[in-house]
Amino acid sequence: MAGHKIKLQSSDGDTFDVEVEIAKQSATIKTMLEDLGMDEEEDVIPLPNVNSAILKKVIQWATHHKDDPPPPEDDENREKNTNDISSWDQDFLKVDQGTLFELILAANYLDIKGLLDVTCKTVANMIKGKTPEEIRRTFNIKNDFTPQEEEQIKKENEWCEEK
Amino acid sequence: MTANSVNPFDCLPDELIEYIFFAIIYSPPVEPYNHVNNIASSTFYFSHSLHEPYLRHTYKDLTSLELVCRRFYNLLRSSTFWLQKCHRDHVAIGNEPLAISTGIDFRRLYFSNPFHPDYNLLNLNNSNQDQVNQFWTPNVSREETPVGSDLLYDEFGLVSSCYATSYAWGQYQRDNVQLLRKGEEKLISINPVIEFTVCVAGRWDCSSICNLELCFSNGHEWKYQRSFSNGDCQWHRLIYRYVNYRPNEMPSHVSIILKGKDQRFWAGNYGAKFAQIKLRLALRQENETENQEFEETMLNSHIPHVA
Repeated sequence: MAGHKIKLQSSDGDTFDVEVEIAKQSATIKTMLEDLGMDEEEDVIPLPNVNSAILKKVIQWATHHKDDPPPPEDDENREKNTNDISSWDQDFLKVDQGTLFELILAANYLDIKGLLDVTCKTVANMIKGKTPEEIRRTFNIKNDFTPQEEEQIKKENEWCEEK
Repeated sequence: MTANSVNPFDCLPDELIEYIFFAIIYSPPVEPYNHVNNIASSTFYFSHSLHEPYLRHTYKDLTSLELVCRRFYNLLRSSTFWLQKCHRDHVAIGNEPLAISTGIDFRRLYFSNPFHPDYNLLNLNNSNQDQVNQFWTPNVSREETPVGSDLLYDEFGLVSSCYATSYAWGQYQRDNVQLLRKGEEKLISINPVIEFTVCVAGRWDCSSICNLELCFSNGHEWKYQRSFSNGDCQWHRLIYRYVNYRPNEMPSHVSIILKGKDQRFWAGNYGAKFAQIKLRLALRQENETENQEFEETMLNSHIPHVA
């Protein structure tokens, strides 16, 4: 079946020819294909939640990772390689924040675990080691606490500072 | 960083923000001899002392996030978030259904978990060897590897050191060891089991004897005596689980005395040996209402599986 292709259609109407095996990294698409028994080349799968710029990126990612072993199910192995993002993925994810977050949404909607993990880790790395104010500045988040509330939370967290 | 005026988190549902927060983690590398595999649940735990600083680091980042905005704060104050975080980050709890039903604060447990299997109330402030040695009388000798008896391994797969007594009673003494640390008082309501463990052995060439004594602050006592005949050089793990105290009246302290000597009056350290002395809290097993004392013989061939 190698080389067999299906068409994916983005929210803005562009279609992309993608090898079935690549598209199947998306559990959502895989289920659709199985449920609908689609294997006609002419079938088009509409993806109303993903625009073409993001879909293009997702396909690029899935193409690069098409020969990856399936992600380990068990907790332990997932943990063992938790902190590393491959250098290819790091380069791939050098994008603006808007794109990065749209990729998270798309990975979640398409149910591509590997892509969801790596995008979320990338955001997590942008948060790690930062003060609340630095995090707000990084992501343009508005501080919606009153100064009194902020004091209160800081006080609540004092216990963990003591050894 | 591009200049943007929108908060990108606004477009994410809560579950995806949680997923990002789960990805905030610092962890030691998984190496042989630093963790214990639990084959049954396909998970593992690190040694407590190794893991704790990493967990604190992770926790610190998450408390910074709490202060960012209300939405983050609410997500990070949910008990289900912390239960899952504990799971994912290998903070072992033990009897989890019980922990959930009794309303244990998993956020609080995250880096300071008295139910960690490797947590030892006897080592909390005595991390170096000199500090541990001071609890033994001077006639007791520390053996890096047990001499004259089987080898003993700890759960991480390493050979344990031990303390060997002599012809006069040699003694380990701990007075009024605190069972709950500051801030843990709420745990009284779940009536934790107080579990004491020690490994004891004799030598192949000399018979010996040991006495154990625990004295809890509510007056409860546990005493145990064991002798080792010639040729018995296997390690025996003795476990006492103090369960049956009055509900909500867990004792606050315990004093411990371990004594040993040989029975032939030989010069040198031919008496009973002690190793892996441990005091911890545990969650009750289902229907566990009686105090339990058990002894487990450690076979020399039983070398823990090291991944």
